[in-house]
Amino acid sequence: MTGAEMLLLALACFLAGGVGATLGLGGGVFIVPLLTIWLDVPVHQAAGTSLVCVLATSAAGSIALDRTRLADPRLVAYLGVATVLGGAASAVVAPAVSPRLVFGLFGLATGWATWRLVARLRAPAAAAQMGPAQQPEGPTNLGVGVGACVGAGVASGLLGIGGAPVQVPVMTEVMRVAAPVAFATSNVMVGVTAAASTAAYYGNGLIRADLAAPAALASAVGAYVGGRLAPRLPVRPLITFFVAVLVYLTGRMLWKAIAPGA
Amino acid sequence: MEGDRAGRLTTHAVTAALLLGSLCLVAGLLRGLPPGAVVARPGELLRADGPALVGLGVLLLVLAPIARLVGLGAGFWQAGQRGPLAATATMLVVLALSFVAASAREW
Repeated sequence: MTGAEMLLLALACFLAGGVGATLGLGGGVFIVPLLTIWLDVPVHQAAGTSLVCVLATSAAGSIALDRTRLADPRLVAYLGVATVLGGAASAVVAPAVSPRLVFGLFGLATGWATWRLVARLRAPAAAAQMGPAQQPEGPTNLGVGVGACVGAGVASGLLGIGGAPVQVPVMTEVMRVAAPVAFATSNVMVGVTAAASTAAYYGNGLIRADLAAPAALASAVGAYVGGRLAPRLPVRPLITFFVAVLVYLTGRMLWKAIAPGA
Repeated sequence: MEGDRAGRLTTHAVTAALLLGSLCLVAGLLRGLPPGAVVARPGELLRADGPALVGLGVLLLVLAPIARLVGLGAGFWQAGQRGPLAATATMLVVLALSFVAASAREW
């Protein structure tokens, strides 16, 4: 990788970290496609490398959010154990999963994230902004939330993402948790889940040092900056832009799953 | 007040893990990372070359969520909340076992 490519990778991961912190998506949904499509990194190495970025962005984002005290510790505990178990188990089997299947599942994951962003665009303006919460009824439906978070953990372990695209809508729409609380809680859970998933990739030698170092550093800075700026950023234009990005990435990942010789 | 203090300590611990991990990543970059190199595993960390420094950085980054969980657990312990405390302890055990298993692969 040339110096220019490393700088571009760092810039892209800075944006991915910032977007992840601002929109509650997590950076993994951008970083894995970035590595596989642009740098032609084998998908399992891309997933392992992305998990290191997720660790860094979660830590940086949670430090930025600590002063708000929005994360719900009980939700972190009960939902986190589900994601950790799912992530640890799926990461163990991930290297044996066909790369085409991983691409296909990733395409579904980015498609889901796209749909969730579009739903936020169509929601009333106040609901799309990450500002002070509406008064929630939650948390309710804890059992459903725990079950869904097992799925989020499995996605994390297989795909190298943090699980936020599953965790946040589950908390806000099924468990009736206020959106800012869900974002902050998910930020903590994502780091814990990524740590559990990272272990298996680390043991299997699937984390690229030459990519993880610049990508994790840049995404951590981006996440910290994004976390601090989030309440002041215009969310709707950001969401619109990243819906377009995700539509493109979804198409590319699904193509890699089905195209002959891809 | 105790909760505030515990929260601040947790933030400091997470910050320290992130900063130390980041320093190791920077050191690894400066040391040089061959194209395609994977991070060094526990038995190779003493080499102190680029991949070893990045490997150490990864392990330090993993300490950040672990520090967060320890802080949460301490809060649940003080508040006498057994359910969340058990869940937090379970997560810590799973994390520890995962890394022990990962490290044992090379032997």
